[in-house]
Amino acid sequence: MAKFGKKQKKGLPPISTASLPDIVFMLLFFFMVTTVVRENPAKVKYVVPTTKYYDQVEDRSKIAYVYIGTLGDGGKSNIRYEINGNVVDEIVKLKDKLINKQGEMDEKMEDITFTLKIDKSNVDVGQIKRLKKMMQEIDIKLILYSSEQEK
Amino acid sequence: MGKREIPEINAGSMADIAFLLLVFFLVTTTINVPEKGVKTVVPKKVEKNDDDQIIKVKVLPRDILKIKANARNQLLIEGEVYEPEEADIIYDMVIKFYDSHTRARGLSEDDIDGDGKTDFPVRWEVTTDTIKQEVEKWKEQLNSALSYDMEPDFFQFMVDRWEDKQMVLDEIGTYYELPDAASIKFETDDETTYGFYLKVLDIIQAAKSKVLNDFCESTWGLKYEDMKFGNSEGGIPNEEKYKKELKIVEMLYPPAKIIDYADKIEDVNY
Repeated sequence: MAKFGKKQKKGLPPISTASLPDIVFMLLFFFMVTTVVRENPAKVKYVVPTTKYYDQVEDRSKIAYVYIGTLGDGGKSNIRYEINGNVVDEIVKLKDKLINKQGEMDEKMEDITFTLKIDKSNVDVGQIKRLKKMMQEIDIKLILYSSEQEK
Repeated sequence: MGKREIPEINAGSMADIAFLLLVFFLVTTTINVPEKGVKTVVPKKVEKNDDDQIIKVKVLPRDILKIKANARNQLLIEGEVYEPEEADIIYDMVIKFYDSHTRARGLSEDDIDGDGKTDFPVRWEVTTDTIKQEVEKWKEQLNSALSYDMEPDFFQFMVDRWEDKQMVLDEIGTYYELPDAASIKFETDDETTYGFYLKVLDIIQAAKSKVLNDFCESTWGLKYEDMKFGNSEGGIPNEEKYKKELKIVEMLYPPAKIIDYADKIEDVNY
């Protein structure tokens, strides 16, 4: 009869997890540094156009977002303007909101790039012209028509 | 005095805390990407002044590339109707607009009509003689304006302009300039959709940047975008470094040649 030797209980030594917090903290700091807090999703619905040519604006502290799109299923008859989570139905009412936004940002009006996220199929050029007219009156200078990039 | 040993703090839960924070940041953040889109400037309000100097330039029909879009997104270009899907045709037209025909100064209109009528602007050769004449002419007018106590700005502007042309001639040799009146007019209906409007603008812009890039690459072996927006060693913006080159590009392909009717907002009410 074969003699079964007693298996020696050698086993692996336990892995030290002492450095785990360090690794996780490193990851944490990496994400804290490279990211910005996500802006609230807009209430109005919009699909921005696609372009081949585009410009870039890097400095996010000098960007203000304006959304123009539809609310609900109204289509063209239900165009709404949104800034800072406020939804208004007329360009006149947007004027004060833009001035408030400038006050909040504490930048000069001509330094702020107003990034316009505009729905491509429901909004038409007449609205853009009226918006530009209003922006001209409050000395807004830079605008960026936000677009997706064609691959 | 016996030294009391401080018990070791159990750091086992540290990882959990850190993980929790990590997950929080992962969920609430996005990576900082630059905002992309088509940049434009809101037109400045102009006060009309009756005694403003008006520069009168001769406008020929071929000098203007008229692009019209109607409420149904159809295009009317040079008298022909195109469906929205055919918008890409604008690309070739814009390239032709900038770089189509070159003629030596001294040829008459009949000569152009004779060897092939054209729908696109004709570039004229700039010669040292004409520059000399013009600079002298405008300097004379500038001096008389000064002696009569008139506003000299306009005449100074014309003198500078012609001197710039001499600079371009010295730098790149024989060159041909677009007529003053040459422009691309993009007219839209109020009901043209925004998406289509931006699409046409994009095609015009893409064609223009191709023309500029081709010119810069063949002349200096550099891309226009790099010269204008890039940074060279030591963090100096290229715009400073290539000031002269960019000026030449500007003289050959003037930036204000695109007239966008969405900027015509003098009579708009909102």
